[in-house]
This record gives sequence, C-alpha cells and structure tokens, in this order.
Amino acid sequence: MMEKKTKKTRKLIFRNKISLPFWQRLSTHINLYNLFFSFLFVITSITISFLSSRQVILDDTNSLLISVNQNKSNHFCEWIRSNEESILSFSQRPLLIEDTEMLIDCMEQGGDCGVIEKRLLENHLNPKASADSDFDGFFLMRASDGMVISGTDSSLIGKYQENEDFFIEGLKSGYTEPSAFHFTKGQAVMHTAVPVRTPDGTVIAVLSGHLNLEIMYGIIGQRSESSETEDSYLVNNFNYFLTEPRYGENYALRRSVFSNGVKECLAGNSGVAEYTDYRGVAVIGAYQWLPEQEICMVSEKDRSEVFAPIIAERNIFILVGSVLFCASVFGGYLLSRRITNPIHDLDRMAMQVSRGNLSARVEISSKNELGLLAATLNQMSANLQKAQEQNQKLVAELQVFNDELEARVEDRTRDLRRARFAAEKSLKDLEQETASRMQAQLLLAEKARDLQRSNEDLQRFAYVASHDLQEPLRMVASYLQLLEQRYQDALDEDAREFIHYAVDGATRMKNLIDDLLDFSRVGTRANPFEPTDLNTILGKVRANLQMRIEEENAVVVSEELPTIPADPPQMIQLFQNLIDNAIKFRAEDPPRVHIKAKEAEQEWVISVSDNGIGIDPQYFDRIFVIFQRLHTRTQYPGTGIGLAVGKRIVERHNGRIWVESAPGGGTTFYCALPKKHEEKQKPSSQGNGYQQ
Amino acid sequence: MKKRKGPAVVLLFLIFFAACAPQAEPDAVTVQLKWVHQAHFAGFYIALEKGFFADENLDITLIEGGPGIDVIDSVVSGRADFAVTAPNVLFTEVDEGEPLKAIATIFQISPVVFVSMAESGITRPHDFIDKKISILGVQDFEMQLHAMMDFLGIPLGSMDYKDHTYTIDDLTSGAVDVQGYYVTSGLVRLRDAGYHANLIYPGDYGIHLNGDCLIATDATLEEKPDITRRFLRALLKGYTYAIEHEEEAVQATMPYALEDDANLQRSMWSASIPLISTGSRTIGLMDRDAWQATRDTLLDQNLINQPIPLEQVLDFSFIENGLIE
Repeated sequence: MMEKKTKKTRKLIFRNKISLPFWQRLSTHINLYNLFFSFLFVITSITISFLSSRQVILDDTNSLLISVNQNKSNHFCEWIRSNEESILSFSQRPLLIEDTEMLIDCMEQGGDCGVIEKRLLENHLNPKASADSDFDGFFLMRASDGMVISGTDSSLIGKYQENEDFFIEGLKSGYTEPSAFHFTKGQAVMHTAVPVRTPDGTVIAVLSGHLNLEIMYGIIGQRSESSETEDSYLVNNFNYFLTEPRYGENYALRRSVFSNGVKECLAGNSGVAEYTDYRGVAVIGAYQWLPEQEICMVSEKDRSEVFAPIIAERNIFILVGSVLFCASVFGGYLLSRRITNPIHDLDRMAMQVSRGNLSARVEISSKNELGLLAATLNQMSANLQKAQEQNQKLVAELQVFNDELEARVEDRTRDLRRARFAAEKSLKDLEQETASRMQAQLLLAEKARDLQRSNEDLQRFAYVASHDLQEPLRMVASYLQLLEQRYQDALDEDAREFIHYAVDGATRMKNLIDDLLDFSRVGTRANPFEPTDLNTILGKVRANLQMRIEEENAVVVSEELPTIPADPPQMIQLFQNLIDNAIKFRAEDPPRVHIKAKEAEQEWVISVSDNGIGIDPQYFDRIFVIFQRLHTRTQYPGTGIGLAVGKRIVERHNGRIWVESAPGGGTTFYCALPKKHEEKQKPSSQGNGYQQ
Repeated sequence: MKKRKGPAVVLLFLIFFAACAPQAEPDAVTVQLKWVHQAHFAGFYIALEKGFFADENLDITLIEGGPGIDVIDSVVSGRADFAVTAPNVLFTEVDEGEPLKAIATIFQISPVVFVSMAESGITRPHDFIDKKISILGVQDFEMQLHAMMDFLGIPLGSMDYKDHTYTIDDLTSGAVDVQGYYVTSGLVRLRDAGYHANLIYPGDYGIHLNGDCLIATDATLEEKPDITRRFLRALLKGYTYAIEHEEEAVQATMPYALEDDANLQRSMWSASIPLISTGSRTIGLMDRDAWQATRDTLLDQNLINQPIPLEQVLDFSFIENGLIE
C-alpha cells in the first residue's frame, strides 16, 4: 500500500521532472498536424492550379497550333492558287501561244527553229521568270510527247516529261504538283503546269513553272517570335518532308517522318495530338490534311516549351507554397508555443505546488481558456496555501496538545512500568507460590489418594469386622445368658458377677458393633436423594423419641423447616442423633430443644439448640470423632458414635456441621445443607459394592 | 463462394516460364546479294549491326555476289532464301518459267546512266550517233540504251560499240566517248577521280525503270510468309536507318566492303540514297507503273516473250501490309 503510493508519486515527479520526448509533446502534435495540413493544402492547391493551368495552356496551345496551321495552309494554298492564276494568265498570252505553235510546227518539220526558240525564250519565258519571283523558271512541253521544247533552264530542252504528273495533269487543266525530288536534276522541284491552248481550244503544249521553293519554305517555315520550338512543315503522301523542319537540315524530300500526328494526317484526318515528333521529342502538334495538294501540314510545339509556363508557374506555386508552408509552419510553431508555453508555466507551477511550494503562482498572460485555467490554478494554489496555513496552525496546536499528552503518557507509562515491575515481581512470587502449591497440591492429591485408599480399606474393614463380629458375639452373649439362666443356682455370686460382666461386655461390644455398622452404613446403605420435607422428618424423629422425650420431660420446639434434597432415612437419623444428644446431655433443667432453619444463599442452615451441659470448646473437634466420649459411660450412656454418624450424613449431603457451645451454656449444632443436590464429581464409592 | 486460384496460378506460371524460357531458336535466313559487298547493301549491314534482324529473331547470312555468281540459281536451288537482283533479270527468269517473285523494290530508280566527259559535247542520246560507246555486259545497260534509242527513234547501228573494261580510264583517256555506268558505282569513281561528266539518264528519255529488288521463290513466300515479313520489316528498317544516318551506314559497311575505302563507300552510299529514298515513294514500295514500264520495255526489246502479268512477278502482300513503320 505504502509502496504503491510512493511509486505513484515518483511517477508523477518523473513526468514533471524529465522533459517529455518530442513525439509526445503537444507542440510536436500541433506542429505535425499543422505540417500535414499545410502540406496537404499546398500540394492540393498546387495540383489544382497546375492541372487547371495545364488545361488552359493546353487549350491555348491547341488553338494556337490549329490557327498557325490554318494560317499557313491558307497562305500556302493561296500562294499556289495565285501562282496557278499567274501561270494560267501567262499561258493565255496570244503571242506566247502563237510562238509555241510555230516552234512545234517548226520542230516537226525538222527545220532550224533557233529564231523561234530564242524569241519564245526572250520575249516570254525569261521576262516572266525574272518578273515573277514566285517562279524559278518556266518551260514548255510539247503536248504530243512531253518533250521540253523551250525553257529557261536549257538543260531541260530535249528531255521528256511524258510520265510526269505535272505534264499529264497539266494537259487537262491547271495543276500544281507537290514538290518532289527530281533525280536527274538532283534537286527538289515543284511544278505548276497549265495547258497551252490555241484559240480553237486545242492543247498544243503544257506550260510549267518551277515554283520558288524558298518562298514555300518561307511560308511554311515562318516562325512566331514568341515561341522557341514552334515548328511547321509539310509532309507528302510518302511521309517525306517537303519543307525543312526547324530541327533538320536537308530533310526536304530526303527524310521521312512517321510520327503519330503525320500518320493520322496522312490517313486524311486533321486534329491536335500529343506525340513524339521526328526527333523523338514530345510535342503537341496540330495536323491538317490538304486534300487538294495531297499533303499534310503540321505545326508542332515542344511539350516542354508549352508547359514551361506551368513549370514556371509551378515553381512559383512551389515557391509561394513553400513560403506559405513555412509561414504556416512558423505560425503553427508560434501558436503551439502560445499554447504550450502557458501549459509549461502551468506545469512548472503545478510541479512547484506538488512539491509543496504553495506560494507558487503562474503569470496570467492571456485572457483565453489557458488564462482562465491559470487563474483557477492560482486560486486553487492560494486556497491550498490558506488551508495549509490553517492546517499548520492546527498542527501546532495539536503539537502542543500532543506534547502535553506525551508528557502525561510518559508519566503514566513510567508509573505503569513501575507497577508492571511490581506486578511482574508479585506474579513471579505468585508463580513460585503457585508452583509450590501445585507441588503441595500434588502431594496433597497423593495423600488424598492414599487417604482414600486407606479410608476405603478401613470402611471395608469396619463393615466386614462389624458384620462378621456380630455372629460370634451373639453366640458369646447368648451362651453367657444361657449359662446364667441355666446355672444360676449352681453358680456362686462371684461366678454370676463374672458372667454378668461378660454379658455386659458382650452387650457393649454388640452395641459398639451395631454403632460401627450404622456408621459404615451411612456410606454403604445410602438412598438416592429426594425432596425431603424436614418438618415431616422431624415429625418422625419426634415419634421415634416419644418415649425419651416424655421420660426426660423434654420440650422439642421446631420452627418451620424447609424441604431440601436429601436421603430421608439419614435425615431422620441425623436429627434423631442430634435431638437425642440434646436430651441426653441435659442439665438440671428439663431439656429444651429448639430447632430452626435459616436460609442462606445456597444452603439452609438448620440449628438444633439445647439448654444442656454444653461443651468445652477445646473438645469441639473430638465430639465428631467416632467412639470419642467426653463423659464416662456411666455419666451418659452411648457408644459415642452419634455425632460421628451425623457428621458423615451431613458430609454425604455436601453440607457442614459445626458446633457452638460453652460449658453450662447449652449447645447449638448447626447443619448447613445445600438447597440443591449436586452430584459429586468424584464418584462416591461409598454407596456401591459393600451393600449386602 | 470459394475462389478457385488454380487457373490463375497456372497462368502465372505460364507467363513466368514464357518470360523466362529462352527465346526460340532464331530463324536462319540466307540472302544472296547482287554484287560484292559494298555500300549499295548498307541497309543489310545496318540491320545486322543494329540488331534489327535479331529483334525479329532472324539469323541472317549474306552471300556475296560478284563475277560468276548466279544469283538466281542461289535462290532457285534453295541455297539462299532471298536475293537482290535487277527487275529485268526477274522478268526474264519468270519468262523462262522460274517460280520467282519480287517482294520489295530497293532501288526505286534504275541506277543506269550514260556518261560522257563534260567537254565532249555529248549531252543527249542524239549525240551518241557515230560515237564510241561501251556498256557493261549486263542486260540492263543494253536494254536501256536500246530502249532509249528506240524511244527517240535513233537507229542502234549508228553507234560504235566498244568493250567495257570495267575502268573509267577508257572514258577519261578518250578511248570511248560514252560509257554506261551505275550511278552508285562507276559514276562515283569518275567523280571521285575529279572528272566532270555529262549524264544522260534513260529516265529523261522515256525509259523509267526501277532498280534492284528483293526476290524469293514462290515456295519460300508460301511456306515462310512470317519469316518473309519479319525479314522485310527488319531490312527496310535498316535501309531507312542507313539513309537517315549516312555515316553510320558507311561505318557499318566497312567491315564487309570488298574495297576497303571508306570515302568510296561513302560516295557510293550518298549516290544510292536518292535512288532508294526518292521522296515520292515509300522505301521498298513496289511502284506498279515502274514495274509495268520495265516489263513493257523488256517486251519491246524482245527480252521476254510475253506480257507477263505483274501479279506473276510481284507479291504485294508484304509491302502493302504496312511494313513501313
């Protein structure tokens, strides 16, 4: 119990004494929560803004690329259309038609056509070529076999274009062929061709112009200054670049591209997609299929550039987020301190209080809940202090009282100690005495046992002796009496006198034996106790002694006597002996016997008083002894057994018998008899075994 | 209900073992080249070096061509699964009953060119008349020359034919006025030697033939369509790569090249690229017009006896299945 308490206290002290590990601190928790939620907030807002701005940027980029694509396509188509118009109007010049017709005719005739050739070149093709920067040159092909009959590039003359698309299509109408690599020329070329018709509508030749590819490249390759990666190019049906892409040199008609955008486009679709371009770089690309030219217009922008603003934005967000985060964390830290500092103060104060310093107070720095708590704690501490002071006063008073008490207790203790010593000493003496008594008792018991034994032997002897002696004695007496009666006459005086003595002796002996038998019979012929009315008993005694009372002229007076548990015959014998004695030992006056009873606590004391001769107190002991006589037989007849028998009877009734007397002053015998019969613990052997 | 996990476990094991199992033995494929190892075949070398064939689980063996080597016999006899040859050869063999078909055109344009020295004044076929001319003893040259002359209506007998000595010396020394060259070989040597030449292409004079193609026997195509497809895919990838990475192609060629001259091989490959990658046809594509023109020319020249249907010499099923990716 005690140990438990100290443990608890120690624990409390421990908690207060040692600073908490950081993960248990409230401030850590607050900071962690704050950290977590700030982080969550920052991440969420960054993500949301990132995603939304990404979508915005993507949408912007998509529409930008589509519009770039659209613009360039329009520009390109417009360029081609205007060139077709230009060459068409050129082909419709009457003089050109006339000269062409003349040249063809001339060639067919196999003549020298140099003049016509020269005129055609100088008057028409060369001026037009130099005037129209969209064209690098022009040439005329004979409609019948596609042979070049005239051209600004003389190396072409005489060569056949009969299987070229621009010739075949050009025979029918205006046609612009996508740029293609011309193997024999060893370069990329782009033809626009129109038929040359005579006024009657007959197509006599095809006029074709080499389009200035640089212009096309310029149109397509025109770049927005705002973008660093914007890339536009044309791709033909066979996946070949037709123009130079931003990141390629000599790609036109030499390199093919199979990006997803181009594939989609060549499948005839237009749209925007994110894919990997010809460099293997992730791009966002708009593609547009131009069905008339059967080519694909592609505009792309590097993903990295597109999303650079978001990256920048993201970085700003991260920066701002980080700042906010730090601010939040710092704020959280301050808040946690604002909370935990007062708590720490409170804790310190509480610790002080718990250590007993009740005067400890915490500074109330705020009016919030913690301030309230602090105030309450202060109040509590103050109350405690007050209580303690009262307590101390009380304790002091108590101390004084206690001191007094202690002094008194000490005195008393000293007395007690002394008494105890004395008691111990007397106890020791007592013990010793007890021991010696015990020893004596043991000896006494031993003696008692011996006595008992010898008493029993004696009783047996008495009984046996008296009983067995009677018979020979009766014979002696009988024969003596017979001798006296029969030989009375023959005997002389002496003889008769002798016989008379013998008979007298035998008679006395018989009386002695009878008395002895009576005495012994008190123990051996006992009756069970029963409620006995002593008045009745006295009545019977009176009757038995009627003769003697009358003879002696005695007066026997009795008061009301009680009923007690007793052996009635023995009671009769007792009272008979006492009354008989009272009458017997009479003085001069007629005997007067007074019997009365006095109630005591547990016994009745019956007294038998007479006015007889009295007894000298020195003989009080002797009178109760068997066959003890104070007087001679002649003075007072009797064997001297009456009181001995009475004493035995009284003793058998657990009573006492004693005498008060003075010579000449009368005698009073007292018999104290118990009101209730108590079976003696010690079994009386007197009643058993010797009855015959 | 108790879920049965057995099938899933078995499936997992199958996937596991499928993933772990050593890849099936590569399919062996032998290719007979048209000529000696040179940059001409750079697509093969690159595909080998870059592992394009290995990616398709193919084990490629190249048989070098050259003087005295019968390319067609290699394929027909089964020594090679595929061969590189000229379209006219394919036509004449098919005409003679060989069960062969082209599956891809490697050279979209015939590399045949007729060359005269720049200062000779010979700039067009008309100028060949009464000139000394030597052409390689290959059907291609004769056929194209004759067809061109026929197209222009110039009698063949008007030229003085000389033997081709396989050098450029005849031309430069003036021993002959005109020589027939391959753009990818002879012309390269002439130019590399510093000479300027006039080039007379049959293509400018009505003869539009294509160049080398890839052929196989009908049996091979029928029995190994999958291998054929994979082989073709890897090879065309090789050629595409070689065109886009000229120098790498040259370096890949060097270990094989008979003529250990990187500059020569480089020039050869540069000259080859425009014939393979024309900008107007997908690499490998078999252009019907070109093939028809070849057949018609052969027929005109009586080099084949019948107008063989294109389907009999061409198997479009591989290229048109979108191999070029």
